Amino acid sequence: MSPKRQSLLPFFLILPAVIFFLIFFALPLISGIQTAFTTPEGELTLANFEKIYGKSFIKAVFNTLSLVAIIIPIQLALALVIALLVNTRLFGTSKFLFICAIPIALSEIVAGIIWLSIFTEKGYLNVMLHTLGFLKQPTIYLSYEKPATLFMTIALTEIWRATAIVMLIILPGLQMIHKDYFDTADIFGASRLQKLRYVTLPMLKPTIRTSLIIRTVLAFQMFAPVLVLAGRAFPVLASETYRIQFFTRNIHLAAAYALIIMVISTAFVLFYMRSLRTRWSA
Amino acid sequence: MAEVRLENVCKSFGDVKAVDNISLHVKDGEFIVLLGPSGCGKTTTLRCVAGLEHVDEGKIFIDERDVTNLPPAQRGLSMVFQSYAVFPHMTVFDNIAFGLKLRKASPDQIKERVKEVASLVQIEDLIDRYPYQLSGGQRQRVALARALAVEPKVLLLDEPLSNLDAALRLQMRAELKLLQKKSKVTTLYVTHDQVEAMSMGDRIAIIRNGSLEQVDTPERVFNHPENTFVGNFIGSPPMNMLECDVVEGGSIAIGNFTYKLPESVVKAIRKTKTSRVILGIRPKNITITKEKRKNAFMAKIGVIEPIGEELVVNLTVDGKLLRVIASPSQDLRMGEKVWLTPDTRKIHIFDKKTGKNLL
Amino acid sequence: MKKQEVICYIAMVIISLFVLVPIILITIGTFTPRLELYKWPRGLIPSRFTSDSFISFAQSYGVMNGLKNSITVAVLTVIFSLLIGIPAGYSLSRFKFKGKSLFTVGVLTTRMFPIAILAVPLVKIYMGLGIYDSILGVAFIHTIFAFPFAILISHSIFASVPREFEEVAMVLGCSRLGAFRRTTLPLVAPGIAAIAIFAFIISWNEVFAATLLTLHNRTLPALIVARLEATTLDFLFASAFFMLVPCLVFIFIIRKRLLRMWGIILR
Ligand SMILES: Nc1ncnc2c1ncn2[C@@H]1O[C@H](COP(=O)(O)OP(=O)(O)O)[C@@H](O)[C@H]1O
Ligand SMILES: [Mg+2]
Repeated sequence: MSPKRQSLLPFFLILPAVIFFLIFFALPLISGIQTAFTTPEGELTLANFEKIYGKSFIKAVFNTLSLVAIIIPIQLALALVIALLVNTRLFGTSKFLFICAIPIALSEIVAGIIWLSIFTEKGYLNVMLHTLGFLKQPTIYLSYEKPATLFMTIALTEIWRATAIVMLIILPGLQMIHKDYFDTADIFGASRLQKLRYVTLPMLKPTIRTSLIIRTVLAFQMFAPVLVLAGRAFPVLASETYRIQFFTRNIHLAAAYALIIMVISTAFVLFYMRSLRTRWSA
Repeated sequence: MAEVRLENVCKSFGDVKAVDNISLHVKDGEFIVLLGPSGCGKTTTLRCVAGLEHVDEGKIFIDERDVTNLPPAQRGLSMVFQSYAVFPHMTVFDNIAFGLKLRKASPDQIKERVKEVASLVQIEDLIDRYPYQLSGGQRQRVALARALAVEPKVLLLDEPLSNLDAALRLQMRAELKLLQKKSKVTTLYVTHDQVEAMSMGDRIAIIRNGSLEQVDTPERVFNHPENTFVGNFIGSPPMNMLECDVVEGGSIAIGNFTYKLPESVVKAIRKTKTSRVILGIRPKNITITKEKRKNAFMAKIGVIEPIGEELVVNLTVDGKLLRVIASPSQDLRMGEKVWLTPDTRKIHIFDKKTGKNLL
Repeated sequence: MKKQEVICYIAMVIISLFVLVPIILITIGTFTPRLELYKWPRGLIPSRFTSDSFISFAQSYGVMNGLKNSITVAVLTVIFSLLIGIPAGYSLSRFKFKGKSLFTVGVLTTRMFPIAILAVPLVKIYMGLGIYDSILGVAFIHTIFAFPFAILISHSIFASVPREFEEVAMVLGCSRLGAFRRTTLPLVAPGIAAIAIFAFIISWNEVFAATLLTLHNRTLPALIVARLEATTLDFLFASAFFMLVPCLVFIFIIRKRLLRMWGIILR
């Protein structure tokens, strides 16, 4: 093989990826920004943003951010607990790991329907409460009049579905921490909690950051559970984007919405990058 | 069987000159060791010979055939890697047969040849196993058998023993050497271990920072190092190096003492007109005495390290450290002042500026 | 057993139940007679198990077509992701070249965007290209989800196979391609199969982009979203169960590799 050909080979091999990236990632990103700032006639404008700004927009932003604020800390804590349990390497932990990982293979919409079967009027929650004698007539949980309950069911569905994602990022990070660090802490007489506080968590910081970024970004495009459980009663940013695209058929408004989602999620990513920086790793 | 010739071979990775103008002639059937500290370019040199790296400049010949631009497969050589690279998805048999299959040998031929080399490296019993069922030493034999099976004209070995434990390393050292003498395959052997190099090589090529420092027999490399680097690198504990001024009357100054050099040495120094030299003397070639002797200099004993039957005595002369091998029967004490007499026949004089041996 | 171990086991049982019970419930729901789902009072276990809901779901209008579309899109996504991801992953693991870190950063940034949202501007672009409401269009955006994973995972799989294997093969008489085929490929094949399954699951499950980019050629999830407001519980339960089963099978197949594959996403 001539040296020339060999030196071009690596570029040749990444070329398909680069082309694909440009056409289906960079191009829509740019085109999306452009669409958001223009009228259907192609004039520059801010009107799209003015039009979507209103009661339902504020509600969607509020709902999305509250979901993020509740779901993500709980998921992180739960994922940590699962990862620590798996890492005890007691008998049966590999089966436990597999069970906890199952939801990662499930679609948002499947998760939504599964929890609908529990929270719907004649669903399994009411059936169980009835069987146990706690209630006579079914309670309605998924109603326009009960935003707090709606919020909780959606949060629960997301916690059930997506904790696995966080866990499967945290666990390898946990297992990469060398045993010697824990042994050193043992030599100095650290208790379990102290080891968690002074060894595990600080060393997991880069991992936690990655999991937070991935999870938060996914949270901003979440919409199926919301549609299944609440319909229009609980607007979030992604479901509103979908509604505008489908019912107003105005792509400029939808693009403006999409852009706002991008901006908020990027802000979160940057925030995580800054606030969870470590001096000893990238 | 074949000769290998490297002519002005250069290979850089970005700013790093891994191989810097190396010329080397390996004779037919010779066992040559490439020796040098880690990172000096030994592996890269070997990979250039194999054709795994494309040289930037220079030419490589195998038996007068210019192979510089040939792919590895067409060079008629074999290689054993430091990590062995025994294929985990093939049995020992398939590993050894790999090269033969590529050469389209018949199944019968393959079977016979695999059996032959397997018994040569003593792994006949392991032939149906998978690599994960083998120990490090056994894997290494598989790698060797695989390399030998194709009857290469040249065998390249990159630190093949460095992943073995000390006892096995000693045993394999002897076996490898014997195997090479029997098969007479021209061998380039890379190591950073000078003892290994001394005990195995017909000749040793010492490399530093990508350049050849000296190519010679083990005996010559040890007794006639061409420069301070070689002197320092070969031998353990390393050769003592004392910087001295040349003074009138064929002597050099060591601290407050003058040490008289033999006439032949003086002549050599005069020729170069240099005024500052380095006196090189191996720890074995200095005698320690408690009473003053002619042409000796005084030193103060520091730490004494027992190494089995001998002692390594650390001494300071004029603020510089010297090591001398002495016998425990001498009853030496730390802090004691003693006299050192170098064996005049065994001294080396290097030019301070160039580091070259002047003798 | 020590007290701590007991606590660990209790925690594991509770968490396992939290994950498994809903899946068991939807399975029961799917095989409950349709009318019993709306009855009150009703018991947890139905009077009899029946596959009526399941059959009527499978026979309802558009479902078979949606299934066909979902499978086609997922298979295309797998093919595209492998075709794009494997060479790039191989290149990253075997060569140093200018722009390598830029390329890696580019791949990693895709994780920092809610990619599904890109479906909105893609509607316009697809209309221009004439692939709006087409299987191909959906497969393309699903590939954007899957190919960064394919690159990162195959990169690490290739990196775990020492390059010496190929070099030995080349010294012993293989060409570069032959060396890859005979040594590296058989060793990475199971890992590549896992990537394929992963890409399949990503595509099979994706809702938002598929919903936005199709009208008639809907994939199953998109079909379900479109029918949400005008359908019955039994249809929904059966659809969820139907979507769930292949995923469970697949995740079972790759269970041993799950951890390794996700660990890679860290880097
Ligand atoms: N593929 C490579 N890319 C960049 N630098 C390399 C590569 N291979 C070797 N080097 C550099 O070239 C020098 C010589 O390396 P090597 O030949 O492996 O040394 P040795 O085998 O003597 O330890 C080192 O500085 C090393 O870092
Ligand atoms: Mg080396």
